[in-house]
Amino acid sequence: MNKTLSVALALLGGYVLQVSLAPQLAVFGVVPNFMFLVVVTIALTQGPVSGGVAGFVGGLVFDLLNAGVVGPFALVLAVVGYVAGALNANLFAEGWLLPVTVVAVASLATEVSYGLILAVLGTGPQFWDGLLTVVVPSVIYHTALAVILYPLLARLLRTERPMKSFRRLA
Amino acid sequence: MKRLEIDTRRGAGRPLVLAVLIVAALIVTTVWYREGDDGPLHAARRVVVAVGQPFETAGTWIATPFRGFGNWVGSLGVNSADYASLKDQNQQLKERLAALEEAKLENDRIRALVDFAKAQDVPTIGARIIGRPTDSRQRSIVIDRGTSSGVQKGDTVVAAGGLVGQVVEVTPFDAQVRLITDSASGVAVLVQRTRVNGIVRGALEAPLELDFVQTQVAPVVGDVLVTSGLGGTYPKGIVVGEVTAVSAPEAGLYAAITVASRVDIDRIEEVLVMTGQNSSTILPGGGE
Repeated sequence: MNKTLSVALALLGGYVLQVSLAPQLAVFGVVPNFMFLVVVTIALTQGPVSGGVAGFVGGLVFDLLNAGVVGPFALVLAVVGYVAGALNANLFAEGWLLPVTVVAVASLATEVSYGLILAVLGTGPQFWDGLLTVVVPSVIYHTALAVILYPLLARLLRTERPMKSFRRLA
Repeated sequence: MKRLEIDTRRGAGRPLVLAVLIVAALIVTTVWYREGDDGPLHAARRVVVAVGQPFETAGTWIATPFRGFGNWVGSLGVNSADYASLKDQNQQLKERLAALEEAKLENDRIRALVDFAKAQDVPTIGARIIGRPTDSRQRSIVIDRGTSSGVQKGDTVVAAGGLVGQVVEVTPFDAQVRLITDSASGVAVLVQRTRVNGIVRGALEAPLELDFVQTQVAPVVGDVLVTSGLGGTYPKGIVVGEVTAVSAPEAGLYAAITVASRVDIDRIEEVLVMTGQNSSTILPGGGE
C-alpha cells in the first residue's frame, strides 16, 4: 500500500477511535488518546518526517475535536512525532520493550508539554494540578494500550519488512 | 548490520521540516485567537465535530447495553433475595430485565428534567448527549440538537440538578457544550444564604472550586451556590452546586473552597438547553 495512503488511513482510524471509543474507555476522567498512539506508531515505523507531519495533522484534528484553543496539541504532537521517529531510526533494536518504552516516554513528554502550554495560554488547569490526576494515569493507560495497538498498527504500516510476530516487530 | 544502515539513513531527519511544523502550529494558534466565528478554523471545527457525530452516536449506542447491564447489576446489589431468585433465570431474561431497568431509569431522569423545565421562565428544549469528553483536560460534550432546533452559541445547558455548561459551537444538527467542570469554564455565582459573590471554576483535583471569596465571608459546608447573572453568561438563579469543604490558608486572602455539583455530570444522558436567553457572552478558552 502507498505509504502516504497508509499513514492517512491510520490517522483516520485514530480519529474514529477517538470520537467513538475513547470516551467510553475513560477511567476516572482520564480519556485515552488514540491519536497520540497512532502518531507514535507512525513515527516508529515511518521515521521522523512522517512522524512529524502525522503529528501535526493528528494533533490539529484532536484540537478541533475539543472545545479549547486550536494549535497547542498540533505543536506538541508534531515535535513528539518527529523526535520519536528520529529516536526509533537511530536506536531501534529487536524486541517489544523499546517501542513500548518509547510510547511511555513520548506519552510523558506529550502530557507534560501539553499541560504546560495550556496552563501558559490560560485555557487549561494549573500545570501542577494535572500531574497526578492526568499525566501519570495517562502514561500508564497509553503504555498499556500500546501493547495491544502498536503491534496491530505497526504490522499494517511497516510494509518493507513483513512481520511474523510481536517479537520481530521492531 | 545492513538493517542498522537502513535505519540510520531513515533517521537522518530534516530539522527544517520540524521547524516548519512548529511555525505552522504557532500560526494556527495565532489565527485561532484572532479570527472570528466565521473564520476557517472555527468552520473546520464545526466540520470535524459534525463528521464525528455518527461515530460518537455509534460508540454511545454500542456502550449503552453495557451501561444497562451495569445498572442491572447495581440494582441487584440492593436486594440480595431478588438476586438469588434471578440467578436461576436464563440470559434472555437477564437482558430483558436490564432493558426494563434502563427504561425505568431513563423515565425517572426525564421526569425530573421535565419538572425542572417547568420551573424555568425561559424556553427550553431537551437534548440527548451523543458525545462524551475526548480529552482528559478539556471537558466538553456533544448534544443532538443544533441550530435546526433553535440552539444557539452561548445558550445555557442545564440538567435536573442544576447547571451543566454552555454551548460553545453549534452545527445544524448538534452542538458542543463546554462543561462547568472544564478548567477554562468560570461561572459567576452567589452564595444563596449570604449573597456573597464568587467564581466557580472547573478543577482537575476537585469537581469544582469557588474562587475570589475572602476568608472573612467564606461560606460554610452545605451552602448552596446559584448563578449570579453577572457578566451575562448565565441567567440568574440556576443552582450550580453545594459547598463541600472550606479552608482558610494562613497567608492567603481568599478561602480555598471546594464545591460539588448536584448534577452527576459524567453520567447524565439528557439535558435541557435554555434557548431563549440570548446570551452573547462566551467564556474564554474557546478563542472568543
